[in-house]
Amino acid sequence: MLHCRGLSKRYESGNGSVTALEKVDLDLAEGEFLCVLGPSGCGKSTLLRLVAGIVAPSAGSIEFVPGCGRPPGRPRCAMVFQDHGLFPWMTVLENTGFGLKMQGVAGKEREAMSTPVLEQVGMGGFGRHYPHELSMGMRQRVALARAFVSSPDVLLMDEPFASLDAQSRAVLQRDLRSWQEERGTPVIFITHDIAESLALADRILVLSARPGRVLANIPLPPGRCHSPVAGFDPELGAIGREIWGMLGQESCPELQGASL
Amino acid sequence: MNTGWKQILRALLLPCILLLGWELGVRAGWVSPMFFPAPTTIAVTLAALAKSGRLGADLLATLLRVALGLSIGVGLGLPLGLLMGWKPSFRAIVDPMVGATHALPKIAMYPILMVLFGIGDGSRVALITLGAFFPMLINAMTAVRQIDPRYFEVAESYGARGFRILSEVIWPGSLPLVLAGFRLALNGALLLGIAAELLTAREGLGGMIWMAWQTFRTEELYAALFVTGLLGVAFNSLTDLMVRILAPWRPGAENGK
Ligand SMILES: Nc1ncnc2c1ncn2[C@@H]1O[C@H](COP(=O)(O)OP(=O)(O)O)[C@@H](O)[C@H]1O
Ligand SMILES: [Mg+2]
Repeated sequence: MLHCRGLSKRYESGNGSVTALEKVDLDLAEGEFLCVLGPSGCGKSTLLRLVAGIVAPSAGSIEFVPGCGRPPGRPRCAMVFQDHGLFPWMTVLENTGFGLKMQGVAGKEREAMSTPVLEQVGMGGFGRHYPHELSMGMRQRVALARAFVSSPDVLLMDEPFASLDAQSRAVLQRDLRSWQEERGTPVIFITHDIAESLALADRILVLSARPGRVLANIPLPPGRCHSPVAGFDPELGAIGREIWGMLGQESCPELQGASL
Repeated sequence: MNTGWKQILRALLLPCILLLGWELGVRAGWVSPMFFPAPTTIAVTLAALAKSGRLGADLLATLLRVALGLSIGVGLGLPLGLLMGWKPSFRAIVDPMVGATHALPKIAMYPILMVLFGIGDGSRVALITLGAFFPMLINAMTAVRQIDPRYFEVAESYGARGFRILSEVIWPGSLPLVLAGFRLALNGALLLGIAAELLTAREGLGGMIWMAWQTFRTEELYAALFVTGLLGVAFNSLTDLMVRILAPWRPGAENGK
């Protein structure tokens, strides 16, 4: 339903230009959970900005074909970031309704739609709180509620759990997968954590060091249990080691040939 | 409530000791009542000035000038500053000019303002306007520039553009610093208002101070200074209150930090 072809992005700035992405092809199927892995600075965040339409590609195209008779166009996106994703000047309830507000939904209705979703992510009692009163894990739950309540065509997540402790991360990974499957929202999930991608993904896209190119496109076995210890499964473990090898060479070329 | 009263008592402790020592010093003849009239004398003068209506009239004159100059200064400085913070291309055009004029002590422009706006209230209000305009402009600009770019990204990813960015990100995101700028603008307006009155006015708190000095009525001088100080305190409390009501999300705002 989402087809990106030959996506490239050059940033022009005062002291020259940086090619962040080069000829990246990316497809996303209905309800699919895609993880994007790559060394830091390879253009992962840029890829999300391109899909969200926040920046325009230097070359290439993004085509969105919705399933249900809607005409092709821009996908409606919701983004979740590692931190500072919630507006500090809005309460939890206002933050959750932000996507709806931008769609023109009236205040009362926003509240009625946000409340059950907040309850689902376990934040039901915190509607009147401000983000600074919440823990990081709780904030990410609210960010997820805001994303889901706007019923996006694509959910874009940029290392959303990177600054959480291992415990909250594991719980949120499990919860995210179950909410995502329940709603059938396709996800592009950026991470630099191989274990995380093995736990969550239906498919993993590995990018090279800058400029980011697609190194590998690895489908994972369907119908498995999305547990944080997925990497202990022998089949997934082998895939994980393969990705380690690829990324190791990308981030430290002198390791070429060394086996991990 | 209880701790609130304790705090007020603590804040009043030092001024009370000072006033007491002053009073005793005058009564004992250690300091000249010519230069340092006893606090009780000043209080009696203040009461008489208030009763005669002179104090009210002077206070009102100052307040009106300051309010008018402040409104114009903030009315111009705030939108201009927000726009300069938002649009780098606009900032590039206006910033050098602002930097150059801001460096001038505002009071030095008073003579030119008198040429432009006459020697009456026109030039006084113009000077107050300058005193409010620059801190408001510069703080509003800084306020927008310090907003985490992430918030713009979030808003845009949910489809916000143009006016929505202004109302949902720029305005609330800059509000705490804008209010800090408003406080500086208020203080700047009061400062230049009193300065202009000292130089050219017969009425207003500044005029009152100057007249008292010229006629050597020091108790009136101190009475006017006292009221001016109170006005400054009142203005600061007002802006504190505005921060608490308008920007309640600021961590610590709920306990008045
Ligand atoms: N707005 C920008 N202007 C100039 N260069 C940028 C900009 N955003 C990102 N870059 C550069 O593009 C490259 C990729 O950035 P990014 O997409 O954030 O990488 P990642 O998310 O994979 O760490 C980096 O080298 C970064 O410095
Ligand atoms: Mg990034």
